[in-house]
Amino acid sequence: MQTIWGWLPAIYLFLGGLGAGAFLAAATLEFTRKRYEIDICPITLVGAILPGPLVALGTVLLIFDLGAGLREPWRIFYMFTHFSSVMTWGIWILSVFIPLSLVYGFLEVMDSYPMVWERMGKRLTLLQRIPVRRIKRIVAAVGSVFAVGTALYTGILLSAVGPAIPFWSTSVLPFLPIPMMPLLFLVSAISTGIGLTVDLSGTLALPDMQERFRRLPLIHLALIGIEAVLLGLLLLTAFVEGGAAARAAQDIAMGPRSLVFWILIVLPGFAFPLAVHACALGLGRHPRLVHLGAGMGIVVAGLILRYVVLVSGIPVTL
Amino acid sequence: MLPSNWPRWITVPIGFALAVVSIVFGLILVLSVEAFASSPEPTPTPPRIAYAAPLSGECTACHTDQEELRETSASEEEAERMYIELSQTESLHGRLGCVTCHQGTPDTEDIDAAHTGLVDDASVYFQEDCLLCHRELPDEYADDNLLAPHDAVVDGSAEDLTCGDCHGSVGHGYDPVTGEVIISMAACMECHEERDLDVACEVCHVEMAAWSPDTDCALCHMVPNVESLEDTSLLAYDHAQEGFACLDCHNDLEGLEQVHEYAVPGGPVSALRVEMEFCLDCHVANEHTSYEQVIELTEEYAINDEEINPHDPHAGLEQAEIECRYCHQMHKESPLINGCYGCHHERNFENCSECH
Repeated sequence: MQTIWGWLPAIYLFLGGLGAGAFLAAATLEFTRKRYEIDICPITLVGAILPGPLVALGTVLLIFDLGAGLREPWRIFYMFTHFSSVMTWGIWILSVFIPLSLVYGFLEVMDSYPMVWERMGKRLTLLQRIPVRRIKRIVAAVGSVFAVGTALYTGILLSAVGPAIPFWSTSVLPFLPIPMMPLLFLVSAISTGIGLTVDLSGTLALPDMQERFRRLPLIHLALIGIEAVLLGLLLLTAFVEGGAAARAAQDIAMGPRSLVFWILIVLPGFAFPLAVHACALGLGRHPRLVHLGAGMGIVVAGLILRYVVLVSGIPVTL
Repeated sequence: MLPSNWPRWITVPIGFALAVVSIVFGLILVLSVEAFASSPEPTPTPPRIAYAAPLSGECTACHTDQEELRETSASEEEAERMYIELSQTESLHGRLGCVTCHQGTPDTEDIDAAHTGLVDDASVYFQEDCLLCHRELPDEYADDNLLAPHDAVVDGSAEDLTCGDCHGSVGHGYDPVTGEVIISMAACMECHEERDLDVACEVCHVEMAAWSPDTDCALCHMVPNVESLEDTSLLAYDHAQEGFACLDCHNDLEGLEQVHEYAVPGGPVSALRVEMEFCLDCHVANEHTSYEQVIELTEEYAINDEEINPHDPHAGLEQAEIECRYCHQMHKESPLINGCYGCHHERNFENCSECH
């Protein structure tokens, strides 16, 4: 088993994607004004408040995983100016996204619970003059760009390991030299983000969730479809590429990783949610417990997908 | 699902808890399923190496600065030898940092201290460090029909031979991933000759295919012919720069096929004797001009204050015709005016009958 790339990187890549996806889900409700159909929206509350802590936690784990970063943390500051490294892109993206997420969460709380705002306002009269919703919209818009950057970065980080572990830098198609991992991780991040905010938090707290979000099954079906195609292409391109990439793909699809892949990724993350949302699209509604199960399946499969991709990466033979 | 009297903000800690639960749940699930799956083959993980790029800044600062090196080196030649291009520190191995391979004392401005414990060729002392990453070294490259004595080097039976003898430039510009620079066969030949080893083709090249126009000429004719394409002092270089390849001049394919059929490793190679017309195809402006144009170019040429046109040396005399190749060579130094002194051995241009 890989000793360097295992559970810890899988968890922080997952947290990065989950936070970014949750932010995008909340920002979408903000832009479509759906958030304002109710006074306190649990979906935007979770999607605005949690990304900051989740991504920050992932970043702490990342620093913990970097041996030198832990022993000599000041060296991390050198990375801000090392522009030829993708790590520098990441450190800038995270440095902007985390504070923006925290501000977004703060503004969402202020908007949802105005009495807290008023209590603070008595002490700081300047705060009362702030147009909360307008600023929140700007923060959501700018933050969305960095959320996409964060989700893409989790994949770019892997694909940048490049020639050393060919499976991670597998291209979208054999003749299209665009790395697959950033795209796959972006779609997976959005899926897990919607899973946490809408499927889990929304279903738990909003009795009329399904009536409010009638297009949700369609969105889920589209995301599951895109993610399945990307995952299929990843394995196919890796097979065509041959060598260490093909061996990794074989391990996942038919080899020792196949049990985890089919039972813990494809079944709960693709097949079950696909069936649930296809039925929901046809019938108009489905049991809430089933919806919760589909949401949980998507989130857990997102984590396990990253783990399997990581542990299956085989270094090239030099 | 949640009781209606619960506040909505409760979804935030619940959401966070669900994220944490997902991780724990996922971990348990994977471990449980993996217990039933066949054990994956241990993935060969590249070992951690003593990465010392951040500690090599002082080495780089000095060795990429020619002025600094001149001030601190014993001679101009030594300064030249110690100089490295900054771009070399960006190569795959260069990025590991100087100290990683060359040891010494890291991160110090004191020149003497920095060079204490320095090693010139890391592979002499730390061959195992190369083998950390380069694990499966073949003895035969089937695609190239080429043998390489990797096993003998690794087990020590190749006397005194280390990784650095063939791959010494790996940290200084040689990029084994892109393969933009390959080890020159001249280096193999030189080493074999130095060690009095067999230099026959079949010692390294196995199952050589029959010659075809697509065959890489460098396989057999690296020295001196193909090598000369990179020697700026030779005309072959100028022709190569204009985009000419071997078969543009050596274009008698039928003849080439015949001579290669009976060629033996190390056998004699006949030089191509091109006629003047062949050169003029390119060196005169168009088909309506001729050698007269070449003569005009050096009309006012003088040798020892005597006006002698080297392109029209025997003007007015019924002498044998001259060929360009008498004075202009491709793959070796051109004799130029020295070519004349073969006959004009007294180094004057009187008629022969003046003396004889």
